Amino acid sequence: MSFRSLLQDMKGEFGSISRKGFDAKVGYGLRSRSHRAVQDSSMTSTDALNQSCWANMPPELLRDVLMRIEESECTWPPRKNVVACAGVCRSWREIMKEIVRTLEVSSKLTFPISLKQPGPRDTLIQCFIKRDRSNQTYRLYLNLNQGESQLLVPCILNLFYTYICLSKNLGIKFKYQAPFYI
Amino acid sequence: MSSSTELTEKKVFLLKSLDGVIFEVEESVAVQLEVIRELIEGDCARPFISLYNVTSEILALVIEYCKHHAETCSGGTSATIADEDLKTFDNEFMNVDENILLELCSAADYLDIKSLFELTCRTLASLIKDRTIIEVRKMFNVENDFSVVEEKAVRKEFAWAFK
Repeated sequence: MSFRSLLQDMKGEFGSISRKGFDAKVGYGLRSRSHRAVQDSSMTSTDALNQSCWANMPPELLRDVLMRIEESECTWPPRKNVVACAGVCRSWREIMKEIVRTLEVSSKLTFPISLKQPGPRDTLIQCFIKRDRSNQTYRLYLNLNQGESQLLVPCILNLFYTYICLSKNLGIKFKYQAPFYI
Repeated sequence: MSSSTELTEKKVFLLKSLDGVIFEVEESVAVQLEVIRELIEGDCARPFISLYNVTSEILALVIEYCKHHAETCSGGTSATIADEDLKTFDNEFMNVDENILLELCSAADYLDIKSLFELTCRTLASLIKDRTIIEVRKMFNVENDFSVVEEKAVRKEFAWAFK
């Protein structure tokens, strides 16, 4: 996966944070059971007619369709669709978790577990987060590969933005520390 | 001499649908169905082929699709114009109701028509993408069968993706 796509991932991530309320469409799905009941009853009759056919869809075809979703939604925020599909039911979750490859292989951030996975090897900056259990802090380690040095500054800035945005989502507090050298 | 007769007399195949309707198709159309192309290459193709998993309604659509693609590709137009034409045709072709779309996808898989399979899968994917989780569950008639622990993990992912 190219460096450009990693940057796109980050830009998307940043954009998703700043666009407040964009989650309204899919996000309410898991908030409350009462809300869900109201939504269910408001489904139209045409949906009821369609459902039987969809329900009989062979699992291997479903897998093919879900694969297309995973392949087409590479950047954030559209990649939230992949996360949403993994929240439909057990079998969908199983398929999605199987399709989504690790960060190292795919260079795509998908599930929160991505943060704990090593990054792709062929990009300009390799990074990983280490958790220090003794004082509940997380450390972001960066490792610079040899490459075009003029790209380094925007790349590092983007990385920090991405991780700070993600950490807000997860309720993790980042503490700024003076730069360190490896 | 023999080559000129081959050119004038186009080979024709008869395809019989699940409900017994027979469609006559030319070889250029029939070879778009990978299953039939393999039969022809293996010299096992008989002029009459029964397709047990496809209804006449769907087979008619499949043949319409293959015919258009075969004609456009061999029409002698430049590649870019042909591409544009196919794109427009595909878009219009996918403008059918969901059940037909599903059956087309399943037929394309059974008959091994790669381009149609890709097209239907992508269209189905775009239908899922714009829906809420509740709508998707309703559409596929699936229950929320997560355990409490799994539900917790799902919610955590949701917070990550949607907050």
